[in-house]
Parts: sequence; C-alpha cells; structure tokens
Amino acid sequence: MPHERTNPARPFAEDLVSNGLEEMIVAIESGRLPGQLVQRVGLLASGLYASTDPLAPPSLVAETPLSEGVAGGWPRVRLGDGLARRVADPATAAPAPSPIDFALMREELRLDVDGAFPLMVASGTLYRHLTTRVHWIANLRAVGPVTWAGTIWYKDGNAAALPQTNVSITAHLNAFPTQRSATVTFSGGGAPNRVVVLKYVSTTSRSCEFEYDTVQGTNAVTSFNTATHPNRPAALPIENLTIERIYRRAGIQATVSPGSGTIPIAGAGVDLKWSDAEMHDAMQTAWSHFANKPQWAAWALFAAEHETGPSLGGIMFDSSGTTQRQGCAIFENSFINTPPPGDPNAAAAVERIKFWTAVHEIGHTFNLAHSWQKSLGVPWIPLLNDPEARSFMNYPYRVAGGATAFFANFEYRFTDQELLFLRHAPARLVEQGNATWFDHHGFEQAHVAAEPSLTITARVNRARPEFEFLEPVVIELKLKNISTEPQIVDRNLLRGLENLTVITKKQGSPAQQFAPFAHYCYLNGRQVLTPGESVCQSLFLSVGNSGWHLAEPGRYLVQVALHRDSGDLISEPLMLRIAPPTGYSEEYLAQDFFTDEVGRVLSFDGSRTLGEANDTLRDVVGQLPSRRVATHAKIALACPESYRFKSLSIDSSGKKSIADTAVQPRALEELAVVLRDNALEAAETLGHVDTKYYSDLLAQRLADAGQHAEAAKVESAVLGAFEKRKVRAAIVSDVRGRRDAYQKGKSVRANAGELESEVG
Amino acid sequence: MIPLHIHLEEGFANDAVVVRIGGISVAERTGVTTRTQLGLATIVEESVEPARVTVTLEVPTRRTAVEVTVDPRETPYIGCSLDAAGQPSCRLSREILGYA
Repeated sequence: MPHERTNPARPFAEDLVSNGLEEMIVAIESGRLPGQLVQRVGLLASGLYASTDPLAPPSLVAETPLSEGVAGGWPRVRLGDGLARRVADPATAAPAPSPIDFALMREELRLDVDGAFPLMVASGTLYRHLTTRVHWIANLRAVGPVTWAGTIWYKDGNAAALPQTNVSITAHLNAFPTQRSATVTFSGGGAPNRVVVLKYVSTTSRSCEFEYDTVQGTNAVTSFNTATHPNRPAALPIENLTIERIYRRAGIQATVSPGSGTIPIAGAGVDLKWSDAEMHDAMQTAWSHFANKPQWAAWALFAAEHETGPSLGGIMFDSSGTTQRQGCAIFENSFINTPPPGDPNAAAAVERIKFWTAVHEIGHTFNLAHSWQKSLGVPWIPLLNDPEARSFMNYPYRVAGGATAFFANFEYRFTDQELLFLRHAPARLVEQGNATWFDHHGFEQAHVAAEPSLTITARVNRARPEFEFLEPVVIELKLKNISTEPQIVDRNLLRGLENLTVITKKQGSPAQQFAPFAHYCYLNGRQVLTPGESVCQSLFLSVGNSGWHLAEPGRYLVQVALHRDSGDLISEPLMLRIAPPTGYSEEYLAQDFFTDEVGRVLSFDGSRTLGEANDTLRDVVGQLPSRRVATHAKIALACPESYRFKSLSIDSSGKKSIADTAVQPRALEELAVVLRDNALEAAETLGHVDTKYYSDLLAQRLADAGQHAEAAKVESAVLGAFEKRKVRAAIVSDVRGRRDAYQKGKSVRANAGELESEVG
Repeated sequence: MIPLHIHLEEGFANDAVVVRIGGISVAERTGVTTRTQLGLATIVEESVEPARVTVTLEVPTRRTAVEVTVDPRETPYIGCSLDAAGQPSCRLSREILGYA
C-alpha cells in the first residue's frame, strides 16, 4: 500500500488513522499488539463510552462537590458500589434519582476530540426508566492534556432529566481498552453537579452494516485509490479508500455484510431499467438483513440504469412509507460513466465519480441532504446552504469551476456540519428506517450563546394549548431580558420573521418550516430592555406560503429559533392540540376554508377582492356563530370596511387607477360586537397582543369618526377582560390610559404593529 | 429535429406546470414535486427544430412564469428551479444534467 506522511505536525496516531490504518488501532484495542507499540502510537481519547451493561447504572462519584454543599450538609446515601453521593436539596434541584432509577438508567458519551476530522464536540444520551431520554451536545475546549470542557448547546428529549448546562470530561487512557474510561461532570443550570464514570466501548460513535448487491453484468465500485487521478489536493494522502473507511472516519463503524453478492437480472423487468418499485422489491428480496424496522444498516444496489434515464447516476429510492432510507442504488449506464471532456485520466475519473456516487447515496440513507439544500425542508435548527462545499454530499459538477475545481480541493470527506450530524445527532434522526427522509435532515452547530442574556418563549394565551377545529392558531413570541444588565435589541427583532425560524411538526409527520405570506422590511431601530423586561409579538401560524401548517386535528409541536449576532436563542417546544370537528358542518366547511385564499384573507385582516374567500368566511359566521373561528372571520370581513380601503382597478383600456371606499359604519359596529361585547372570548382566541391591536385600531377609527364615547367603551371592555385574565400590569395600564383619554374626548394613536412591552 | 431536455429541478411542491416551446404548450403537469434526494422533480423532453427557440415555464400555482431563449444545438439541457420565494429561474447546459 503506498504511504506518504503528509503532515509531520500531526500526531502519529492520528496520521495512522487518516492514512487508512484504523485496523491497526483496532488491533491495539483488541489487545493484538504489544504494549510498547501502544506507547509509541499513542492513544486516542475519542470514541464511544457507556455504562458497561445496557441496564446497569453508570458509576456515580458524587453529585455535588463538597465545596458547594449547603449548610448542614445534605443527607448521604450509600450506593452498591460503595461510593457516596449527596442527595440534592429538593427545593433547588431536580428530583434525585432513586435506586430504582439507577436500576433503569443507561448512559452513553461520544467524545470527539482527536482522530480523523475531530470536531471538539461531545454528545451523550441519558436513558432513565424505559421512556425518559435526553440527548445533549456540547462544544469542547481542551483544559488539560486529557480533559475537555464546554457548554451544552443542544438538548433533545426530556431536558428536565439533565438540568445542567456545562460538561467537563476527563479521559483515562490505558493500553488495555477494558481499563479505559471517562469521568464526566455535568454542572451549571442551577442544579447540583453530577459526576459519572463511563467505560470505553469503541473508537467510533455508531456502527452500521452495508450490503452491496450487484446486478448481474454490472460492476460495483466500492473503493478508489487516490493516486490514480492526478487532479487532487497536493496534501491528499495516497491510499486505497473504501466506502467503509470513509464512514469510519465519519464516526460510523462500517462493516460489509457477508450477504453481499450478485443478483440476477430478472428482477429489473423486461426493459432492464429499474423503477423505484422494482428496487424496493429487490431490496426486500435480495438484502439478507432486510427488516421493515429501524436498524443501523443500508442496502446498496449497483445496477445498469434507472427508468428516468442517463441523468440519474444514483438514488436513495426508499422515501415513501413509514420505514424509509434503507436502500439506495448506483447506476452504471448513466452520466457517471462519461468522463469530463478532456480529462487527463478518463478511466480514473469515471471510477472516482462512481465511488463518490456510492458514498453519496449511502449518505442519503443516513439522512444527509445535498449541500445546497441544507436550509430546505425541516432542518431542526436552521442550516446554511453550502453550494461550494467539497463534500460527498455536494454535486462535483455544480460548483464553480465544475468537477475539475471540485476534485482539486476534495479531501474525500464530509463537511464538519455533516460529521456533526453523523456522529452526534440523536440516533433516531440518523439511523436508517427511523426518521423519514428529509425530516430533521440537517443538524447545525447552533450558535447558542453560552450564557444567554435573553430568552425567547413561544406561548398561547389560554389555560390549555388546545384549539378548536378551524380555529386559526395565533401564538405569542416573548423575548425577555433574563440578565441583570439592560440589553439593547433590534426594535423589530420579532416582527419581520427575517430573524426567526419557526418549525411546526404534526405528530407522526415531517416537520415544516413556517413561511409567512409576506416579508416586511423595517428600518433598523434599537430598543433597550431593562432586566426582567420583555417584548411580545403575535404570530399567525396556521397558514403561510407553503400552505396550512396547522389545520388537521392532532398534536403539534412548535419551536422557534431567533438568530442574533451574539448567538441563537431557541425556545422550548410548545405543544398544541387541534381538536377534531364537532359536526358535519365543520367538516363540510373545511373543504372551502383550508384554501390559499382564505389563508391570505385571514393573514392580511381581510380583502375586498378575494370574493370566494369572503363568501366562505360569511358561511363560517352564519353556520358556526358560537365557534371561535367565527371571531376571526368577523374581523377579517369587517376590517377592510372599517377604514378607507384603497383598491387598484384597471379599466378596459388598460388604464390603472386607485380608488378608495368610504368607511362603512356597519363594519365598525361589527368589530365592536367582537371586541367590546365579547372581549373575553376575543382575548382567548385572538391572544392578548392581537386583541389589543384590533381594539386600539377600532377605538382610533371610532374616535376619528367623532365617536369618542364608543371608543372608550371598546377600551373599557378590553380593560375588563385583561384585568380578569390577569394580563401584565403595564398592558392593563396602557389600555386604561387609552380609555381615560377617549372618555375625555381626546384621540390616541393606535400602536399599529408596535411591540407590546411588559415587565416581570 | 433534435432533443431539448427541460429538467424541473429544485423548489417544486405539488405545483402545476405548463411548458411552452415557441408559445405552444408541449407539457402540462400537475402535482410536480421535487424529490429532494435528487434535486429533480421531472424531465420534459421534446424534439425541436435545430434553431433558437423560446421556452416558457409557467407555474400557475405560484402565479409566475419564466421565459428563456436557447439554441438546442448548443445547450440542449435546461434546468428550471423555483427559489424560496417561488420565483423561477433557468440554467442552460451543454452537458447532460446529472442527479444522484
């Protein structure tokens, strides 16, 4: 095997790994090499650590350092291993696990600080009982020769099971793998320290088996020697790469199934071209380990051609049904069989792109998206597209300069972002057959501030987060200063959605990113939030540019990320429920209601031109007068007639003109019926922010019409409702001030679109 | 006559699409959806005269359209995508457009 040392500064052990000698490391770890060589090679700390027995608890050293003990000390208990732990003060800490908890506790740590492409990241999963699980990820920095520390920036699952926010890890290296371990200390978050010792398990985070089946008469390319093509990075090691080696460097202990082999051509049908259905059937028949369930295994079919034609070099075809991402195919008789024009080594170029295609398609089975699609679909945390990435997940011929430019800089690897996903994302998102394709496909190293000064909350103004069928979902976003210092924020941070990513996910369905109908461009402005102060903004979430997100009955999860230069803020998930229809009328109306036009009319507070949508809303008001959706419909119907509404018209000669219509007093009264006579119901379904917005606007329009007494009545009704609903004092005070002003015959401008500020 | 390949690529989501060549409708599709694992929704192939032609892609579901003039002898492959705002764009290629 050719072997060149390309980077003398690299630790020898790492060099061994990057030059394809992982097998030697494995031999060392399995005790097949003598200890002296182990000393020479040096040991890697990276790898998987776990409690030794899947059902055994990790060794607990102490939950709280003595220096942090409370006066008088906490009661001690003795564990079976003879180590003492302190029981936390129940008033300040999460509930202390009981011995039964420990009996059902399992813990894993994935340490990623050396070896191939280290990310300086650790992640872990804590299983408690049979149903509680929390997955965490932290960025690390070295604080000692074998010690790393950092902040936990991601938690998935039951975050309350791991209240701590920081982690410190010390690796205990040893020539004998069975003697290796890591001491992990969780701290911060107002919780007592938690210290566990986990045993070393393996060099890689995860394991996966690939089965390569080759259609009779087709060649499978599963390896590539980097020396065979002259266009490559100058520092690229010369080595024989295999698909398994690529994935081992990505943190996946990849092995080849002994069931790999040749399958007869008969399965391809009479035209010898493969359809997705034929491939799926072939997967079930030919894959020796096929199972219709999640498993760390993928099937790759090397075939001649897909029915789409030569444009298709490969495909992860398994993207329907509930168990997806198990199978992929690579097509020899496609564009990947044609070398780039003028290539200096055409044969090697073809072998190289076939190898790239095989690794690429298997990457899709791990839920990796293309490099230019990272922001699409449902990345759980926002991702940036990376169309120029030199990654197995990018198309070489799509980058600037084409394949020549791509391979000149390609190091036969995945990007750090992709490695983070493969090594550290929650297993269900990565494992084949688990999360559906493109659901949580991406997973970004969110730039979460270590000690955030602000928090963002997504909430609803009702006792239980339940919505009636057809009732539009309005949530409120609250940005609060949780620091002890004043904070300067962009006045429009919550308004334009430019800085927000909102994800909705119906239980059992892929997540969706909310896209509003309109984007607004605001003049930059600053606002000071004093300690404890917050600003709120409503968000009409049911429908947007990509359709009705929240319409069908069921349970939904909503989560919001707010992007700031100083770090991203992620809200806690908000769980919502949409109730089923209560009768035939609702089901029937739903067919006309859940349309794009009705969505736009509701989002924009009415329209004078979308007649069919208005007719539907009138049907809603007429047939479902006591349902909450009627409140939204009444507002959308009355709003355009409550002010001088401008309309653009074009006559038969093409001449354009703008005309406005007179205010309809009837519309003002219809709005008053909603906001004055039924203020409590309005506040319940519209939310506090929107109720105040509409009532202030109505009061202003009434005052403009000289009806100050009526304006005061509107504000008075809303004041009563807000007091009854215990709305923050600052809001109540503002409403009271408006009422008083109108009672004195004064006019007050509505804060149309202004953020409502509150303290507390 | 020579082939002209019109690839509907990124951004389609249950869209209706009409392809016109020289003003004449050659393909009308509904439910056009990008397969994200390919970055491709569907391919429309038409035989055209070996001369410059105007290709129009209409997307009624987005109330938008794009028009491009191509010489199929030079660039027989057209890749059309919708951006995040639903606006269409096209790229022309001399070589086959590949997906994996």
